[in-house]
Amino acid sequence: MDEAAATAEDHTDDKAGPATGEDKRLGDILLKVDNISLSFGGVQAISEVSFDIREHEILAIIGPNGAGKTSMLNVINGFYHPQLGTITYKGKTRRQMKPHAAARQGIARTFQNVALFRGMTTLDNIMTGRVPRLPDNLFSDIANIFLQAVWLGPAKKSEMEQRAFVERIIDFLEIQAIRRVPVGRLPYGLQKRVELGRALAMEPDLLLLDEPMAGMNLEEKEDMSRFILDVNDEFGTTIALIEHDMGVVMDISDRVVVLNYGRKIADGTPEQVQSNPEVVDAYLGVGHG
Amino acid sequence: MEKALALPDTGFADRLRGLKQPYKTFVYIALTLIVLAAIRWVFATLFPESVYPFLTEPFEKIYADWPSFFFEVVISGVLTGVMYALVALGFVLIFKASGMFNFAQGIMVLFAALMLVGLMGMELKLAAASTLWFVYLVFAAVGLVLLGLYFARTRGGPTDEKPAAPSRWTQTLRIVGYALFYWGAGLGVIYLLSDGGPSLGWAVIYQAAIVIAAAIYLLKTWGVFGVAGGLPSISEAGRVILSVTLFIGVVLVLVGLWTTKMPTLIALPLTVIVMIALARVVEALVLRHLVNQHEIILFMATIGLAFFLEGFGEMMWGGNVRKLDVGLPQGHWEVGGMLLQQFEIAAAVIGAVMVAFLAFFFQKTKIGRALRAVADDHQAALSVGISLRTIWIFVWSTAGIVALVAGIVWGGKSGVQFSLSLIALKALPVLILGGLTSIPGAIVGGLIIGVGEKVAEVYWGPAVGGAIENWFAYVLALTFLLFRPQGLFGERIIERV
Amino acid sequence: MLYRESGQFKTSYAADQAIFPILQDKVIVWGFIVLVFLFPFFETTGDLKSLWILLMVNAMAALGLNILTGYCGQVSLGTAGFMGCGAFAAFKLASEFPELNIIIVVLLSGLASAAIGILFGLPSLRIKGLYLAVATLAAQFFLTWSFIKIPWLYNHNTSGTITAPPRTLFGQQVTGPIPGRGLSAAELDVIKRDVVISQYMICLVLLIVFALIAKNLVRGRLGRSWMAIRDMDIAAELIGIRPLRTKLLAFAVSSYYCGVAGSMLFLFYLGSLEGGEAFSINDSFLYLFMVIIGGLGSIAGSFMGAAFITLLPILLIRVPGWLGLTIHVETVTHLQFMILGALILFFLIAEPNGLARLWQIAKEKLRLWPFPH
Repeated sequence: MDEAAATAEDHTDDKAGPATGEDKRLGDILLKVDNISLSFGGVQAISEVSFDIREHEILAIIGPNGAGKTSMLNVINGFYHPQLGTITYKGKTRRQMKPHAAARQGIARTFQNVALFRGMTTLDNIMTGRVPRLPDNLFSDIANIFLQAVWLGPAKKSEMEQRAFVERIIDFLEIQAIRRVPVGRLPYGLQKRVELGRALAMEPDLLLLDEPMAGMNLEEKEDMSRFILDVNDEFGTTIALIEHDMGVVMDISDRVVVLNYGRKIADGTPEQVQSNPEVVDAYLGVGHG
Repeated sequence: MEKALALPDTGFADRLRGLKQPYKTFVYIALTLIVLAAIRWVFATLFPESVYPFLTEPFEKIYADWPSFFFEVVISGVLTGVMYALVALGFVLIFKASGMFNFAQGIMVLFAALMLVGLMGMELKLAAASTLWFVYLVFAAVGLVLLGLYFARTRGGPTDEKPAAPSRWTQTLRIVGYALFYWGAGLGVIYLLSDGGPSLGWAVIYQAAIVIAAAIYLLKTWGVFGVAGGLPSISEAGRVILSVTLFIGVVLVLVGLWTTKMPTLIALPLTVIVMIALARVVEALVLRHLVNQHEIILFMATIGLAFFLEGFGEMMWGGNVRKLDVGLPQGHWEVGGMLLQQFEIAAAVIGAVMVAFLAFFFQKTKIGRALRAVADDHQAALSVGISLRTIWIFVWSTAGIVALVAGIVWGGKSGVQFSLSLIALKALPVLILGGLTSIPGAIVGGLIIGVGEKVAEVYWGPAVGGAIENWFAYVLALTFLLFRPQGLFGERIIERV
Repeated sequence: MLYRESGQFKTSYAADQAIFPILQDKVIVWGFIVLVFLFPFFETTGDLKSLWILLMVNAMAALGLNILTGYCGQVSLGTAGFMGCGAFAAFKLASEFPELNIIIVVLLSGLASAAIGILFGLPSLRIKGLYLAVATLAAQFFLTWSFIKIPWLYNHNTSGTITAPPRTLFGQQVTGPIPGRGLSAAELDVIKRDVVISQYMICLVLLIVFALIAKNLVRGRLGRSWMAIRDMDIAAELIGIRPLRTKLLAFAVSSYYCGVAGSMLFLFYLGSLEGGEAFSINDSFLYLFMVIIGGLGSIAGSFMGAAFITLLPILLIRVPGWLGLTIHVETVTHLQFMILGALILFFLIAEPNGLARLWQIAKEKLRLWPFPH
């Protein structure tokens, strides 16, 4: 953890590589997207993109604005349904699924523009993250109404268990002081942190982070990098993240996928990607003349 | 992995969506027919005794009525539809410009009609001349003195370089000064000019408006609602109070001065002025403070506005049914065995002209272009120098005028009364059927609902006990929504996160 | 100075999540409950039925609507229609099963309303926001139409009105017309008063129990799912909440409350009613106003809003009377409309969380008083 934090801090350093890459045992392929194409009306958002994510890996998806990064995440957790291609997650192949089903199978997500429940407190927001870990059938939902109505027995017990779990996350993210504050009143950086907390409460196997550090100052970025690396280390969570800060990307990710105009143009370790001429072109705007 | 690739690339629904026109339409029609046949079969199996009254008898009647009576029903439906479309147009305009689903549009129709009918039929027997005007003018003078004190304090004395920063006390001075001045001056002038003064209802409204406006700004000044961030800054207080009182003042003068029946040609433009003033007031008091609010909050706000206007209008003019006659023809023609009401034809023509004019206006003129820009993106429109406030006032004024036309037509048909606003509620299903942002949608939706409910009432109504006109439109729109949530002409929404 | 929470430490999550975590609140609420139970024995102005029972019925309906609109974010314009379902279900149940305890009738009648609520909530699968509001409007118009046009609902009688049958609870008559034959006016008054007091008690107990249940529902997992759907439905779905099921549960629970409120209105307040008139669209708006003015997403707010809207017309009539003025009845109605409309606008603009939020601010200030920082 100390090492991770230290690496995050000096991420302007040129020789930065995957910080924990050497000693981390990458597992099997957790998710494989295969030949995905997605269009809205006439606009082709993603065309024929394939890549995979291994267990315990931190994968960064980068690319210029409008490259289809967020759409890609939306496809992975079932919010958009691609016209072509398949997604294999935990060995099961599918073309589309309901977002809530994806959440139940352990795909958690944070959003580019913070998507917290603004009217609820920090505590309640993170508590909602426990939903996918609760029983999911009509009978238990209806039984829950009656149990919850009298606030006794199983309902109360489950509530307290959830609370205890959430308190651990609150401690982990160091947000004890804002437990009871409605999230709408929090500053942006803290909102991002609460959103990460909500995703963590889902005990995800795969965590999708959409620009977790956008709009943050250096200190906040360092904090957030540390949290991401800690999550990856301590819980073994696989992470796919979109980020524009190249320093951060090169520091914390094991592998980088580069999208441009909806196509994958590079895929490899940060060093490989950095030296890829096509990627340099895409970022500097050369070669599209 | 090989297995994965063997999955079909596209499902049935996707393949359907991918079809080219006109095949797509044919396939959809065929599918609809198949579904209808299936429904009929299920229905006939479940309720065999209902087959005749629901599925056979209506068609027999249509056949028996063919062609003249059936077409009479259809034409009467078309005409009703045009009127629905007229109300719906007002909704569409406002929705496009402010994202506000203006529930009050129906009440605006009633309000405009009440105003017109009230102005036209005005024969007030005013009370004997009184000297009250003098008392009120004294109040106004006191208000002026207070204002003078305020300005003296904030401008600073001759020795001061800078004016003193306005404190809560000086703000209070200013608010009370303004309120007293407008209150006294308004009522005083009315009493002076009108040779008697306004009716009790008017006086109550006028004074209540001032008291409420002043109270709001006093509360704001003294920070009673610590977080009440939505209210305008204190410097606007005077202007807002001014706009409210001016609006009411204009009407008061009209009420006070006119003692004989007003000709249509004068009453009509006056009503238009009142509707524009109303738009101004709504913008200043409501819209401006609800920018960027959730659409549901805006919607509920318009329900509040509807209640306010209803109470206001009826307080002014009373709740009786009034006859409105602006000189539209009342006879009927007989064409090929069909009875055509001249009034309804005239109404349809007015509606059509109105629609054509609006369409032209919003496509071809500068302000129309600005409106479309605002509809597209508020922020972007602001950044190129379009004033949202101007657009809103303009759009609400236009909606007010459309409401007036609808009020004339509806009121001429069934009298001006409260139920007018309920009829206007029918514009809601019309809208969601046609798509919230589409002017052609409002028209086509109006026609479908108008014809649909007339035909359903005449031929299917008896099977279920009649009076289905009350809910048929809603259920029709609802069923339609299940298949096409954005309405006929609405834009498909791509959700983003 | 008395209102302080310092020194009250919680040692368990259960204590921290209690409904009234602050001791003083608990004392005040218990005191208030004792007070309202004793109230009818001291109330002599004859407002017990015309004011206080009506207020409780309204509060029950407002609770129901607040669950749907305030907590789950689905605007409903069909509250009165759903209440009507409860009233007619109560009538049918009471007339088909005369032995059934009247409380059971009330509780069961809510189920009919809940079923209808789910039916009209189904479109929320495809449509949301304003469109759904129009769907509930469809429910309102369709239901009031069916209260008139389906004779089975009112046992085919010619007038189309339903009348509460006489029923007793613990030997005390609680519903239906009072048999007054052979009694003097004074005796009749005593009997009437007993009936009204028992009706008051039943309504009060029902209201307290259901308010407690509502509070329990909204502070737990179900309530959080509702609020998540309200605040951002897309994000809610992406973290694993099933939108349709959650919304339908809200529709079911909400219309259950409305149904119970409707049968209370019918059995304990009106006694007899005609479906088309008692549950009109305007009533639906009034319930919506109660929720807005009281506070969207607040149980206490439902009570405040109901109290406000029930008391407003009565105050409008009585206050000028105390001042020696007379206001025409029609003017009162118009004034009421204007005041309601203006207040709705005021609250939506200045304080969208309604009276409940103002109350909360006052409490926060009180907690710090007299040291504001």
